[in-house]
Amino acid sequence: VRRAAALLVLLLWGAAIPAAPQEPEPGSDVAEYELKAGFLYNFAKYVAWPEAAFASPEAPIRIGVIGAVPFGPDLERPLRDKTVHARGFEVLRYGAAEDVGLVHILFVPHSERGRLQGILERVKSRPVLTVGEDDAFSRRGGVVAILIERRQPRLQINPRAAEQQGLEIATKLLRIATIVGEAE
Amino acid sequence: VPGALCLCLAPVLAAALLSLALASANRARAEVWPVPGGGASAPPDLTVLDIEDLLRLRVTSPGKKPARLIDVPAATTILRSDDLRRQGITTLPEALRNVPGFHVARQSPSNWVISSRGFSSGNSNKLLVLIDGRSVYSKLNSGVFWDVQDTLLEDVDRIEVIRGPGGALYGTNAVNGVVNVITKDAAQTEGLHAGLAGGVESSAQGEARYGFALGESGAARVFAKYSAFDDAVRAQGHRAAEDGFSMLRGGFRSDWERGDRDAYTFQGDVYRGQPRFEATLPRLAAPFAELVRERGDLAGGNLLARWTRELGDRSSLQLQAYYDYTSREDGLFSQDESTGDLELQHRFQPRAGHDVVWGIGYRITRSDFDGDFALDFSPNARTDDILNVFVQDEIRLGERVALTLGTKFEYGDLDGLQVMPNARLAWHVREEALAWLAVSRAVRAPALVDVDSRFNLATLPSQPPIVVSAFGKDDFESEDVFAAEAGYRAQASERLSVDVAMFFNLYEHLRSIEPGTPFVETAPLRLILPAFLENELRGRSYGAELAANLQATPDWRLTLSYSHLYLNLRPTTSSRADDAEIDERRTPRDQVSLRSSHDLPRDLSLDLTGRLLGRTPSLGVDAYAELDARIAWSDPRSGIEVALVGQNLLHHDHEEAVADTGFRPPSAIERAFFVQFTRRLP
Repeated sequence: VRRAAALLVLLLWGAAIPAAPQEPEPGSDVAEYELKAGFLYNFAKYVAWPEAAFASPEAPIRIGVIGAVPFGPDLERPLRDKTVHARGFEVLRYGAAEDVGLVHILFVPHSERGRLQGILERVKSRPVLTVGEDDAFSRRGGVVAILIERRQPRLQINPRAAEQQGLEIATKLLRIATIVGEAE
Repeated sequence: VPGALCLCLAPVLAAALLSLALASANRARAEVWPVPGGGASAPPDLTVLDIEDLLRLRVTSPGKKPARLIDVPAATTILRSDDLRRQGITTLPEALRNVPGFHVARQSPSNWVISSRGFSSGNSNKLLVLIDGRSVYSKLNSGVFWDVQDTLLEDVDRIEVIRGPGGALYGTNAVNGVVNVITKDAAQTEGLHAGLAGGVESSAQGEARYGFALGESGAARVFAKYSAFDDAVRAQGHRAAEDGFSMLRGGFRSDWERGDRDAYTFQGDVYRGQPRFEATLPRLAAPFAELVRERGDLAGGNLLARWTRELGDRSSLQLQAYYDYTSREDGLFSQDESTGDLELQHRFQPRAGHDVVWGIGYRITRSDFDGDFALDFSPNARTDDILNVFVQDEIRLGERVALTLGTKFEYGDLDGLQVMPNARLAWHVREEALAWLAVSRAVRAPALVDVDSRFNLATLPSQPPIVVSAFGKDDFESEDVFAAEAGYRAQASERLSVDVAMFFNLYEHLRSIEPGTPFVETAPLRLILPAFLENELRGRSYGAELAANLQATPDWRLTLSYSHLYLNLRPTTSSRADDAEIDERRTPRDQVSLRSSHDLPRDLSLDLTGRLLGRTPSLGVDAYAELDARIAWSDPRSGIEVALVGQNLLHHDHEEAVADTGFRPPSAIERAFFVQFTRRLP
């Protein structure tokens, strides 16, 4: 009984034992932005940028995040020491669309919904993979939207927008995503 | 009752055992516990997973969170859209069944008794209900006609429930609780949703919503919902009750932004419902009573516009206006009520450590009444207006302590000036634990029924006939409460969260029914035995509510809620009323509910809800246990979901509230089964 009581006290005061980073099983629950960080890394694997987009063969893939910072440290931490096709990653934070510099992936959070047009204008015709969070994003010229519906992630891709940005998207990625914006 | 408790909890326990068996069979899985949000443990690294595996994960909580529940220094419960869907409910009132501190009893397919912290009745009048910022309480009785309050549950973002007084922000009627139904921003509901449900002894429903982009930075949706409820059964004799109900509802919502700072919302609803109505109404001529069977007609609509301007970090200005019209013709009476409401709110930080919200509002209500011998109003048309001003300041007293001081002033035609102050102290014991204390005053403004009504409750066959009548009084005052509350809320561990709230309420000027001196009315000659609505009841209540949430395994969540209420009412010395005891025994002293939400392999999910309610002698109902169950299969890719729902599984039928049915005979709610089919297309 005493042990049970001690356990209860431990539980109630939240003394959690630190665990090593784990690989979650499919179907289990994860924090939203850790999941989105996982997607950003994977997009780098399935999207081909024109060679001119990089200064050198080893130049890192630059990921820009605009506006309120939803990721916290959850974006830099897992990408540290990771590579895709021998390229590392660099994460850049921007306060507003005007500040966006040379990036390869641009994450546009919900909070920027009202400023979407200006942001897309800013990176127009440049080899930038724009990634958003709502349905309207990919319908209005963003390339990929990571939608969370009933806690389940879904990808929505606008191939026409990808083409305009000069990006090639692997068939595998297109196959698992919902395609929008082709009729236009 | 213990037997019933066992029956009710048995399936939940079975699910527990099943789950434990699964967990031990797959120990490896139990050990790779994902850690939502980090905390003391290292978060998982999801970049090691391939994109297809990522698509099979789920996020711990839906997208945007306006504020963390754990930071709110009030007894608050938030029901999320996912919870609502998984409960297998089809209408709004059902959503409140498992909220701690709430008592929900279904009188008939369309009529509900819903109360917070006591005073349950068919006309519960100490609860304020808002749908997207629009108050839906009726000026007629300060109650909520739940039969016409509904929306597409698919598009509800969340329901925020506050137990205890909310007068300082929300004004009159927020005496024992506030229910805030908030629908999703239109940008979150683009695409098509369609749903069908039907079954045995249940409602048949069809609903559809279509959402689309509106220009560059806006979105809109339109929806329609049709529900038809079967007749319940009569408590005595088990024949079908004539109380079926059909309701057709349609609406729209659009949200758009202009520039960086301005956001607009424009939305509206229309509905028309036809309840079947059967009642025995008193009459003045022999045989002095008449059995009335009719189809009622409930119709209404509303339009709401809101403009929000961001003025900087945590500073904003909001202007909201709405118009609401309801028309009720339910066999006993017909009433038209129109409400216009205008509200301005401003939030700003005058200096470091202060977060101020203030606002001003004006509401005008017009009511037209057409009565029956059983219930009439004099005057039968009235226009009232209320002006209000409120201010609230959240003051940081330190790293972990904040004090919120606020008050609302209301000036209304029926109750003059009312002041509703509130003080709340919040202490973050640690990042994920909050202890809070609050003291507040709130009032219920007089309703038309309190001042203008005349009920003729019964006619006794004699010569001359004797009529038992109740009269509202012009000098009826506001009922008021002084409440002291304390609570503690904590994310106790990664898997367990707890929320405890305790309260002590002092009530003054509660409505009492005072017998008066008999008098005579003529043409035809009759003797009146009158009673008058006065404010001669006072009392106190105390109680506690507990909510606990246990993520037992990654796939299995248990939610427990327990409510205890003690209510003691006394007539004042000048009173001759004997209704104190009746009002004391309207709400169960103890209520427990346990919910189990289980995600099974192959995209299946199983939800069980057991609940146990103590007896309510004044509603004529003994203690009872009930069980609801839902099993669903959903395919995230095609957007198809099929669910089988069983409600009230433990009884063939039983009453939840026998009293306060007006002149209608009581109905018993039957065991129901139905199938829900929904499809979502992007």
